[in-house]
Amino acid sequence: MDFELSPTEREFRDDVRAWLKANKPGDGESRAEGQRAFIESRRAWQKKLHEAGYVGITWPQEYGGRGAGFMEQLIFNDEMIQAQAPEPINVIGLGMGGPVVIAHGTEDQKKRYLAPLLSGEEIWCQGFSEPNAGSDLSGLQTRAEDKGDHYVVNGQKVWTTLAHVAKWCMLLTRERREANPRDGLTYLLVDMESPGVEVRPLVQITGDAEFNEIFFKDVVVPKSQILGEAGSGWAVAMTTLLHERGTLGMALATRAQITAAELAEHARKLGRGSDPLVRQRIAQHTIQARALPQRHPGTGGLDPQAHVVRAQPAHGRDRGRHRGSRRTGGRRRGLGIPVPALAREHHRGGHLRGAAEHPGRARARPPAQPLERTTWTSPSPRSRRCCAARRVTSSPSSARRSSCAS
Amino acid sequence: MEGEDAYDPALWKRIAELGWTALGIPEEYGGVGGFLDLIVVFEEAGRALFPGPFFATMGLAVPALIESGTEAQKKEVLGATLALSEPAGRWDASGITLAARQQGGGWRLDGVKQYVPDAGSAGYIVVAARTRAEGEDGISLFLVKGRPKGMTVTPLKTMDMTRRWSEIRFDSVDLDADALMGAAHTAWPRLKRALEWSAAALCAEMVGGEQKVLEMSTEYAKTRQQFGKPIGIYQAVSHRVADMLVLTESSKSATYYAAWAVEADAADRSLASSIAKAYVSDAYRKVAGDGIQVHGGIGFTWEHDMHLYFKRAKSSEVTLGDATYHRELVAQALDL
Repeated sequence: MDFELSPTEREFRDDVRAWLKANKPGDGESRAEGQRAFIESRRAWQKKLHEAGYVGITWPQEYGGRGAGFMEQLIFNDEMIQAQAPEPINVIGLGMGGPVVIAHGTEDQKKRYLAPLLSGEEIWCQGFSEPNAGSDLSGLQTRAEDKGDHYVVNGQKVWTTLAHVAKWCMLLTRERREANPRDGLTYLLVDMESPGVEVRPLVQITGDAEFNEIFFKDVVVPKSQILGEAGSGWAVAMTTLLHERGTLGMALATRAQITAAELAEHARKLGRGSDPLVRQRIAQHTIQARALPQRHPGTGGLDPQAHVVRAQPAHGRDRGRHRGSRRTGGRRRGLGIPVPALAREHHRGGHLRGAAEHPGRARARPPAQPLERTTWTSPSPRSRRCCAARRVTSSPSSARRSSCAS
Repeated sequence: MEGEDAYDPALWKRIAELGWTALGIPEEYGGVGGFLDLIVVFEEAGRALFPGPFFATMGLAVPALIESGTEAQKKEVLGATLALSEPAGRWDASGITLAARQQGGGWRLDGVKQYVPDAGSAGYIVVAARTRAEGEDGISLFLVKGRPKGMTVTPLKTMDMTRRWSEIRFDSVDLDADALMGAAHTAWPRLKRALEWSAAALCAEMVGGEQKVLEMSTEYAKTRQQFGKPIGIYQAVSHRVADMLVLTESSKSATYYAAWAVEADAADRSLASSIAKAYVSDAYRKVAGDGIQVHGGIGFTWEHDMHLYFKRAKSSEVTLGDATYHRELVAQALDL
C-alpha cells in the first residue's frame, strides 16, 4: 500500500503539467459558438492531445496507444482537471468503444477502428437503450436479420450521446429469440453514414442536445462488423458497460474532489467559514469525496468494484453532494491488480447507464442472480504494501518512509 | 467476553507469542513490522469482536509511549491503556481537566477519567493531565504503574458488552518524578500524533466489523426464503445490502489511506485520520443497523451476534471523537 508517486511518475506528471499549460485551449471556447464549432474545436483538441501521446495512454502501442500503465492515466486525468482543460471529443469511443474492440475485436477490426478513434477522426456512439429497453436491456427489439454475408437492421435506439456527429455506433441487436433473452443478441459496429440511419436530437434539461434518438430502417451491415460472435452480444455488451462504469465513476470521483475544494474556497470568500453548520457540511463533502474506494476494477473481467465506484458518485450527486477518490486513487503497485481503463473524459453522468437505484445494474443484481456479487474478500492492506518487509525505526515517522521507496 | 474484565491471560500470552503485540513497535524496544501490519490484526480483531485489551494496549497506550515515553518507560510497559476522556466526554485538549501538581519530588493527581477501555486488566495506564493553563498548553502525560494509593478503577456498565470501560478516580494520587512522559506541559502535540495512530487503528477494527456484518447479511439474504424466494431477490433488501457494501468499501479506503499516512508520516496525516474517523464512525453504525434490519426478527434477538456488532459500532463511533468532532477537525484543516 503506497500512495506516493514514484520518480518516473512524478516526471510524467511534470511533463503533462507543462504540456497542458503550454497547449490547452484558451477560455474563449464556449458552447455559444454553436454546436458544430464546439464539436470541431473539441475534435482539434483531441488531435493535438493524440499527437502529444496523451490519448489512449493505456492502449497498446501497436494500435496507436501509449502503452503506459493506469497510474499514468490517473495522473493525466488529474492534471487535465487541475488545468481545467476541456475534454476530447470522443468520450464514448475512448471510454468504451476502444476498450471493447481491444477486448473482443479481431486483429483486422483493431487495425481498422482504433487509430481513427484515438485521433478523433471518427467519433463513436453507443446504441443500447431503446424506448422499451432501459434498465432491462435484454428486452431490446432492434432486429438484425441474417442475409448471408450481411445483416439488415430495423429498430430504434434512444439516449444516444454524440449520435449526431458519430461515424460508428456500437449497436446491440436481436438476431434470434431465445428462452433466455440474453441469448441471441448480436453486437454490431454500424456505420452511421449508412443509408437508412436517421438521427433526431433530444434536448436535455440543460438546454443542450447532446443525445439523440436513432432510427434504423433496412440498414445493411456487413458481417465483418460483428464484434465478438453472432448471437453472443450480451457478453460484449457487459464488457462495454463495465468500462462505462469504471470510466464514468472515476471521472465523477475526481471531479467530486475538485468540487469539494471549490466549495471550501467559495465559503472562505463569502466569509461563511465560521458558521459551524457550514463547516460541518463542507467537511462532510470533503470526507465523502476522499473516502471513495481506491481499488478499481480490472479490465479483463467483470469486477463488482466497478459497481461500487459507479454507485457512490451517483448517490452523492442525488443528494446534492459529490464524492471522489484520492488523487492517487487506483494505485495498486505491488499487488498487481490491474486498474481499469480510465479515460480522461467525463460526462455529466446523469443518464449514462443509470442512477444509483438502477435495477439490475449499479447496485442490485437482476432477479436471476440475487446478490451474487455483493460480497467478496478484499485483499488486506498487508498484501497491498509496496514492500513486504521493512525496517522499523524509533519513530513511526520519516525514517520508515525511506524503506518504502522500493 | 463474559468475564469480568474480558481479559484471558492465556489468550494474551498466545497473542504475544504470535508477535502481534510487537507490531508497529520500534525494533530497539523489541518490536517488529510496521503499523500497516498491525492494521491487519486490528481489522481481524474487529471482525471477531475480540474482547481483550488489544486495542487499549496497541491502539492507545503504545502510540502514546512511542511519541512521549522515556526510554525506560518504553522498555518496561506491557498490557496498558490510555486514560484521556473525562465525564464531559470530550476528546480535545480542553477536555483534559484532571489536575497534576508538583508535590515533593513528584506529582500529585486529582480528578476523574471516564470511558477508559480495559483499565481493569491494564498493568500500566497512560494518564493525560493538566499541569497548567488551558487548552492545548499545559497538558502532561503520566505513566501510572499498577494501582497506587488513591486511585480507584470502577467498571462502567455500557451498552457495548464487547469492550470493558472504566471510570478511574484519582484522589491525591502521588507519582514519582519519573512517571512523567516527556517534558511537562507540552504533551498535546505528541498526544495528538498518538491519537492519529489510535484513530486509524480503531477505524481498522471498525472496518473489520463492517465487513463481517456485510458478509453475514449477504449470506442471510441469499438463504432466508419468503414468498418462496430468497429475500435478496427483493430490492428493498438487495439495495440495502448494496449500500452496506459501498459504505464498507469506502470505509476501507479512508482507513487504509489514514494508516499509510500515519506510517509514512505524510503531510496530511492528521487530516487523513480525521477523514477516516468521521467517515467510518457514521458508516459502521449505519452498516450494523442495516445488518439488523436485513436479518429481521432474528437480528433483534440476544442469541444472534448482530447486536454485538451494533453495540461495538455505537461505542466505537464516539470513542476518540464522533463524526461531528472530526468533521470540525477537517474544517480546520481546510482553513475554514
